[in-house]
Amino acid sequence: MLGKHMAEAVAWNTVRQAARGDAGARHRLVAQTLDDLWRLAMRLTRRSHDADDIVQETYARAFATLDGLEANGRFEGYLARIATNLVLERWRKKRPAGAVPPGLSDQAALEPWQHVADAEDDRRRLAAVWQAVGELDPKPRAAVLLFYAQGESCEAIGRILDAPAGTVKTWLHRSRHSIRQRADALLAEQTAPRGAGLGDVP
Amino acid sequence: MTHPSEPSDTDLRDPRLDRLGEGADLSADRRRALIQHIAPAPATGRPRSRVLHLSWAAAAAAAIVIAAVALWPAPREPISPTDILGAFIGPLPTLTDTAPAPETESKAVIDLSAALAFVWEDLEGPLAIASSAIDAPRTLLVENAPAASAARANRTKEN
Repeated sequence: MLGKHMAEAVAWNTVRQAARGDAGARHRLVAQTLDDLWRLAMRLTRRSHDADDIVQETYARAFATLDGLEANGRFEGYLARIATNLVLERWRKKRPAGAVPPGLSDQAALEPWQHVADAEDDRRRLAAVWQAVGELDPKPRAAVLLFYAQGESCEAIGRILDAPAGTVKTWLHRSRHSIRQRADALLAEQTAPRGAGLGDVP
Repeated sequence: MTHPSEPSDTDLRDPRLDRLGEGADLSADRRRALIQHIAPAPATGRPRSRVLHLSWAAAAAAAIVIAAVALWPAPREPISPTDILGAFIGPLPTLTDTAPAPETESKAVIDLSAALAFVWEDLEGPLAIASSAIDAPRTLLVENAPAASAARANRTKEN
């Protein structure tokens, strides 16, 4: 399963045809799974170009290993596992900066019923949450994004991250607590120096 | 198996964190480009373009026009009786003067008279026999039957 916007499940017959090198079957596989896979990659990487890279590499790895793939579970889950592991490799090499994905701040500001100040406050809160998520260790961070952003169940996340569902729940429980604390601290830091700075003006 | 003390998926939900899923939709242009790059549709499965349809229609129309032109009965020149006769009795140049005729019209006259003379030579004998057979009484015709057969045989030999 690839999340909330789950499309119709890929038939294993199509996977077997794709494994034999059938270009039409590969095209159908990609067309059927791309939306969910890209959404997952975008939520994990938060940059559209990084999501493109992850998606392309995911399909390349999947097509290279289709021969040995057993018709067990869902093919979409197999893709999600490859994509998440690719993102985990990147995270281990480099910690991403905690920033709101492009477009989110504009989207929040354009809500018609919100006051400009409310929209700005909302944007800052969301940015603090993203930064707090970015500071988590790779696997708990992936679990948080798969659970909260992607809408996966703890069981599915356990299969993707190769961990028991109980461990996933522990990660989520602890991460939620630490994200709240860290986000509040970041918001407090943003407001406190501004007041202190004004006080220092002669 | 969920332990009773473990929180359920619902317990772990948090509206503040659920917003992490916002703003991650794939645009149609990016989707098209990615599919084209990762696994383009095979040529046979690709829908044919309008241009291709038009080119096929133009080629079919051209083929029909060419076939109609090729198979349409061409207007023929009327063939003169002289030419037909000439075709039956053999090559006329052997009967005509080898010297080139000064004018085409006079040559045509010479050719025609020569052809008629040749035909008349060929038919003269049989016509004479036929004429005498018509004029003679039946008894005489019966008496001369062997002679007529011999004449027919001679005629065959001559030919």
